[in-house]
Amino acid sequence: MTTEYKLFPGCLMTNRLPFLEASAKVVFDELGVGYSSAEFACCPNPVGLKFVDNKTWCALAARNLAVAENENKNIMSLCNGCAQSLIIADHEMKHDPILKDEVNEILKKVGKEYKGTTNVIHFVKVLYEEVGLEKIKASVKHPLTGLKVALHPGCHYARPSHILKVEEDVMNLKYLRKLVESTGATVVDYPEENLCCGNVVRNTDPYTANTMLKSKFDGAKRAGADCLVVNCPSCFQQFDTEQAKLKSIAEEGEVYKFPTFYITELIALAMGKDPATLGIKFHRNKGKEALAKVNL
Amino acid sequence: MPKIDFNVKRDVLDLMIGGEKISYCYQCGICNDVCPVSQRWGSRYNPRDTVLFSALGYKETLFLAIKRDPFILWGCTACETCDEKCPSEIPITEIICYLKNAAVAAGLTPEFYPESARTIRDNGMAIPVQPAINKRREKLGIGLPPNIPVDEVKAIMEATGINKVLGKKEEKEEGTA
Repeated sequence: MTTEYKLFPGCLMTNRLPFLEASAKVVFDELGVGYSSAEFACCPNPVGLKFVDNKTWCALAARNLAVAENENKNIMSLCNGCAQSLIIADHEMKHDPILKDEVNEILKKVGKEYKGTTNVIHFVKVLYEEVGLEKIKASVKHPLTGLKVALHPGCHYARPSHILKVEEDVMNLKYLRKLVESTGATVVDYPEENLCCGNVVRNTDPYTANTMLKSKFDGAKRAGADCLVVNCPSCFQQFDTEQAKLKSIAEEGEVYKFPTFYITELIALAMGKDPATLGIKFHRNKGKEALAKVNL
Repeated sequence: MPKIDFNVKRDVLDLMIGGEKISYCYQCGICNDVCPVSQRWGSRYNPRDTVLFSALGYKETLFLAIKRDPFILWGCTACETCDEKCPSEIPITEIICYLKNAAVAAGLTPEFYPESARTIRDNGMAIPVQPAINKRREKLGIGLPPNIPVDEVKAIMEATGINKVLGKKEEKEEGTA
């Protein structure tokens, strides 16, 4: 594969969850996905700065796009939110020439210009469409046969579908499912698959976020899952870190220590990479039982 | 008769790329039905009403309600399920985002949002570089993150005028320094 992407891990992965970035790089290296870094700033957060001031959000996104444009490269995002921010900002400026002019006027102050020539792509799409399942299956040395996985593709991976155009059926996503299956693991269906992780409403009302998180875990457990698999660091943080907060609303005897894996961690484990060097130990919920099921 | 704010009406209508879709809202309520927050709170969080009040330009009525209970607006978890299910393809989350911008400007925001904007302005990232994490990065074999262009971020945010909205806390900080 000759394409080299500008890698966009985002703030959360870079500065809080580096083990997820490490697992992604292990998988990209093994599969020959080319990537390099760039001087990107915050995407910025589509559910943070965009809520404060849309124009500022758009201008900062345009700066990131301009950085990749200067190198004639497309951007590959490791985060649903970053991908969504950059794609929507690009879309807004392409459909609103006044906004584009305003943004470029602002970017002049830092010697940059947004032209609209860079594409932004989520890494799940790269793995499914460009690398392909056959190549991934061929790289599997330690199949995760018997591991039951509940999927969480996450809201901003595919919505709003008319702009992101990630997959055909936005409420019935298949790429993550197929990637998980290519590791030898089994996907279990549960009604809460498309339910939000609760990340955004947590900033306003943690109780509401916790009830959503609880529904998610309860649904996955009922379906017999051993773990959740995600493709977004923000969702990962909700599931792995915030899970401890369910204690206050748990039914008597119910314990919330459910493991979550990022999809490239799962693929790397199936490739035979050592859980210790991948950094699974940095998870709050290390999933020892789940990993023991597949002799890890 | 509620006061009509024609600016809100116009801005919300302008949000509809490719047509004034919001006028197709026939108040079917699917947005409420599929909303995970509305499912938990019932009438307290009601995107259908928010769309209707915005389309009519009833800013004053809506913002008085938001002042009483910010959750009316900030309860939105931005999952965009309503956008996918709306039979009239109204970008409800975009309308709510527009209203959030207006609410921040009016000071009706959970502190998290302006605070997170200030973090981005001052560090270039929503989550700043941390020495302990950098050590962990090196152990994991992925090295230090690339340089963060903080000066460019600051210059852009200065130019967009957002500092007028974020300024309050800074003044306070100067006062206590």
